[in-house]
Amino acid sequence: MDLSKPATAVVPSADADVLTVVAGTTRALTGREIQRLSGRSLQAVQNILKRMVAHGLLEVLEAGSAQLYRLNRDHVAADAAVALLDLRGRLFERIRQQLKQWPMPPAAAAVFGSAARGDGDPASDIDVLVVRPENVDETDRLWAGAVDDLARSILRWSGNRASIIQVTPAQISDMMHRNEPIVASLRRDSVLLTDTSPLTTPERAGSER
Amino acid sequence: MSARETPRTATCTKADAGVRLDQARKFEEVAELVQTEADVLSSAANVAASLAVLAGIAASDAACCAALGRRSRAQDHRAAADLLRQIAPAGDLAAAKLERLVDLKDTAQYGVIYVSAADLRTAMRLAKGLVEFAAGVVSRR
Repeated sequence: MDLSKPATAVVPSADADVLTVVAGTTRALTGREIQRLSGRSLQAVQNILKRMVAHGLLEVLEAGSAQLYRLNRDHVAADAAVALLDLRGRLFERIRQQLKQWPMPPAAAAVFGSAARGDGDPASDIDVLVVRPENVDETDRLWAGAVDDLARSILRWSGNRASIIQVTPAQISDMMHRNEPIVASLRRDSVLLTDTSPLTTPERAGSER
Repeated sequence: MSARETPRTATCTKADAGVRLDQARKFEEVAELVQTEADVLSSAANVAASLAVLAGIAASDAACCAALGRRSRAQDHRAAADLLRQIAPAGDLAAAKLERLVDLKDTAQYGVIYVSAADLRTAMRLAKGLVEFAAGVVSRR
């Protein structure tokens, strides 16, 4: 899945762009506004709007000489259009739910890199940082099995390979002291998968000692 | 200016949304740094809360630019909340967060009383929620 435009996994890219715009607001928009927000040509947008209006998915409002378009949220297809808006969010939510089932819960976890930024392409890895509690060994069978399961699930849910990095709170602390690029990436673009941020785990581990 | 544009809003682009989101994150990050000083220096709480408010306002602009192609230019930040409310889904929740955050603004920036620890925590939580909301809206496409 292209996490910069997840809806293109389901509908052609121009349609996905227009649907994302109209499903993303309750405001009625002009064709030109939809064109500007979608980044598509006016001709392409007009053709898509015409088709969606014909199917009843969009309603048309007259405002003087202008025509305004708004998603008809009562349409049976409206829920599907809205769901396309948040495919990334749904993917992250599934990961959160799986992490909650781990026999040894991670101290923290986050998606970072291109998946967190919402760019990349269908071939991009989904980068996940998992903070392993200090008392859990990397080779622990239950822990290692849970990590492998998560990687398989992410591939199944998205079509993207997961790149799962495991660190302990002490290692995170070292990475922060060395100002490693991954720390900047976590600060800038991460999506938390747990209530705790990976960057606060050294502090917490310290206060628990 | 199009027929529908009012003087209280300005058109903006996806690139503008990215710039405002970066600013929001930076305000939030500095607010967190200053928050750590608030335990020992009461006035630091006001500075941290002010930064949290700025983070929330920048995040709101980012979300509005990305979803609506316009942002509020009104002095009254409640107009920005009205725009946020037009974003779907969850624009109404984001608008409520901004309104609560802006309620703290005057105390934080101009008040002669110190922002309490509880209010600061609330401001940080609201700002964080708005930044997360904006990040989600900006990355939709």
